[in-house]
Amino acid sequence: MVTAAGKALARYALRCTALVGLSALLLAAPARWGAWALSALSPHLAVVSSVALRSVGLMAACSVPMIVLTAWRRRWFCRYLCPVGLIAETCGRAGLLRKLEYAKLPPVGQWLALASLGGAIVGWPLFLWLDPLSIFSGAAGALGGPLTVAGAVPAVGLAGVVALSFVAPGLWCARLCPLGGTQELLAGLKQRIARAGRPEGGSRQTGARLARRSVLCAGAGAACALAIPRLFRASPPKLRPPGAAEEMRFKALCVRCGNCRRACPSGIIHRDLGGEASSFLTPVVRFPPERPGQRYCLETCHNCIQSCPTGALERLTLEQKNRRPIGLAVVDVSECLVTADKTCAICVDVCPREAISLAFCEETYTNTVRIDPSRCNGCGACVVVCPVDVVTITAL
Amino acid sequence: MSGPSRREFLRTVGLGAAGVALGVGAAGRPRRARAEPIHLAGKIIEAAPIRRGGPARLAGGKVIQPQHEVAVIRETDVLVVGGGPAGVIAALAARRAGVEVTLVERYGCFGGLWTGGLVLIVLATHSRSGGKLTKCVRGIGDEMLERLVKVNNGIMNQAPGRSNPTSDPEATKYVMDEMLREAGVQILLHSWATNAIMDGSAVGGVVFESKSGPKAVRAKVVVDATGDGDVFGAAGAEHVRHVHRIGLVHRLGNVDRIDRAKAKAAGKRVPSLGSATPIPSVRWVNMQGPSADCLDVEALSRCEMDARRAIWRKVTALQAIPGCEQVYLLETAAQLGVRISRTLKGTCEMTLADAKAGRAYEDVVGVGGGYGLTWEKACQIPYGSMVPVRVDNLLAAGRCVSADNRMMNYTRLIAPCFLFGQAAGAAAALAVNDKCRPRDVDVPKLQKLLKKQGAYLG
Repeated sequence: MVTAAGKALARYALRCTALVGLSALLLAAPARWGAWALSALSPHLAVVSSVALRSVGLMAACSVPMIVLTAWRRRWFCRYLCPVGLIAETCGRAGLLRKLEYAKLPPVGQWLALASLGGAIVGWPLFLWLDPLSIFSGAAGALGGPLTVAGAVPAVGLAGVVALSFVAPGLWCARLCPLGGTQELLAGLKQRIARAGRPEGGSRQTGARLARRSVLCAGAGAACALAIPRLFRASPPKLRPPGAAEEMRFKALCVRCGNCRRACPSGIIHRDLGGEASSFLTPVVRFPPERPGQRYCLETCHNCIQSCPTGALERLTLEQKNRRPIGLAVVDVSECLVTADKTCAICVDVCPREAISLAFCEETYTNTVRIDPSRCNGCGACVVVCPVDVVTITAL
Repeated sequence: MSGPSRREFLRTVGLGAAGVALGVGAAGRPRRARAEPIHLAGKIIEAAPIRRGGPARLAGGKVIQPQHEVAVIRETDVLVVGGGPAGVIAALAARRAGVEVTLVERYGCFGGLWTGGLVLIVLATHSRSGGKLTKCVRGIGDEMLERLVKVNNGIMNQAPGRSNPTSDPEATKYVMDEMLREAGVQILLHSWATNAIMDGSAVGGVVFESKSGPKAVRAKVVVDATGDGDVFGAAGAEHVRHVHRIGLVHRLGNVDRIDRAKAKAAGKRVPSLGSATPIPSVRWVNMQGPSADCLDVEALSRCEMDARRAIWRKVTALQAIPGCEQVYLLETAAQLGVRISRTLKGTCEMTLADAKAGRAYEDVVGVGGGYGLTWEKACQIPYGSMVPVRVDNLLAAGRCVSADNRMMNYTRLIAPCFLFGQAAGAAAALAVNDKCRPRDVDVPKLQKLLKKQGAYLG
């Protein structure tokens, strides 16, 4: 017979292993593995993004075992695997304050999950980015990169959870975490199904109340999701990684996990640290000013798409990705070497899409670089190769 | 040529022709071999006759060229056709490898587009990685650039830490002349190769047109450094034709006398004036120009005149800007800026995709420097890019080597042309010495020879 202390030790060991294992996976393995791991571990991410995308991909299907497990054993994930939970708990213990009793507080995590689901139904999931696994993935990304202030910013989510744990130990896990809330909801759903047919007036009343509340939450989420894009519409378009959904939808679907940034061999995907709050930490594309180096969106690569856990970057094939524009190349011909009759026209040859040509004008007897917008996918090869930096990619 | 040797030459030609006359005489009308009189001041002396088998004839409204025997004026081991950067260096490489070399050039000077075309910048000499500059173009090409350093205002940017030098065209012509003389290369200037001489599927020499009439040079191996691939085109070797932009380069003088303050005061902007040259008061101005078939003589004629008019308009407009009055058109290039016309179908085609991937070749015979097109990467040159698929005893060198329609914008640069030249010259000499076809040349031996000649193979 296993003692309670032995059980607790085994559970602790498993959680530590999960923390180390997931960190190693996110830091060392190809970024697309991270995407599969995130999807498989978090039913919250998998279900809500599937609803938002109106499709269930293979990646989302991977979450089925975890859904079954958490429905079968209440908060199984929290108790045995969650790395953020382990960190929060450890910090809570180290803190000066006693663990409080939160049972009387409302289940905010469940509300968040329901609101996200409601938002997802109208196409705009609200709180995906609060998922503990995306928070953890973001922090792992900060650890993997060079240690700078800007590099540490993606760890802000985890830092928030840690700070909260010191002030109010256990509050995040018990009441706020949307993944915890999702697990509660799943377990509740299973219970309800098990009890169905058994006439027990009291619980049926509670059940009806719960159902009403769930519908209310989801409805509020949907209403917010419908309202918010209208409030933010004015923001200027940004250069997003290939396959990105429409801007508002993208910002909602993106969980800020940083996988795509890690996956990009050209290093052209950066975190948006600009002033716009709704876009904070989402991936944006920027081409490096320095030469040489093939640092553009390579025609041989769609790693970012493969590493997106939620479908914020649509799961395009390589060929589809190459046809899907990131933006459009624009040449400032007034400073272009070709217009000045100097030795160049390199962009014409390096363009992988054969979108650049020279147009000759009899009148001036000079050539001008022309971009064919029907062919240009904004990959930026011309931007990187231009010796006088007169090409830019503009968002569509 | 001095007096006695001319006489000797005439005698040889006379005897040869007499022999032919005897042979032909039995079948048809006899031919007379006779020196022509030529006036020298008050005297009349003998000169070599100019034979082209009589005039062309009209037959049924068609112009028929006479069928006639072409005099072979030289038999050589290696014949290099075209005296541009590739041809000159091919001739030097072959000669230094110990074989007899004849170099035939259509204009009156060497250097091709580098000098006559006024394309003065030698691009792709170095590769750059991580801020470190590596000199790729070594060997005879670099030796030539180094010799230009010794000429006053001969070259700029040819120094440690610098790359892609710009040379002075006259200095370059002179240095090339001297190097060819020193090596002992037989020279034929003002000789325009018009046809290949075939012996089965192998090239046995070239017929060229000259003021002396059509002449032939026979050779064991021919290097086609014509740029246009005129020899392999005539020999029936498989090749690709391209339409590309044709420009006309010009040089501006007195650019150091531009008073920019005066222009600014007048509210005018001085336009871009091309690129610097080793002479401080002179700049060279490239031209992109219209796209045309560079083997179409009508197109070439049109391009030449339209381009010159465009240049004059530009220069006149420039001179009208306050402060720019003293700038003048020093010259337009003697040679039209043909970028590409024919490329060979070689046993190995160089492609931009391979260059981008940094492909390594077993038969590497040179390493070109970095250029925007190759993402600044050094670029290996395979021997196969110069060997025709079928025709034998022929190698291509220079811009007409085997390359796809993007990579040709790299292989046509001057520095890579140096490398093609040296490799083709060395390979031709090796084929002669080893009595084998160029395609059967022992590649490790060729690489050893190239390294001995100072080449860098990575």
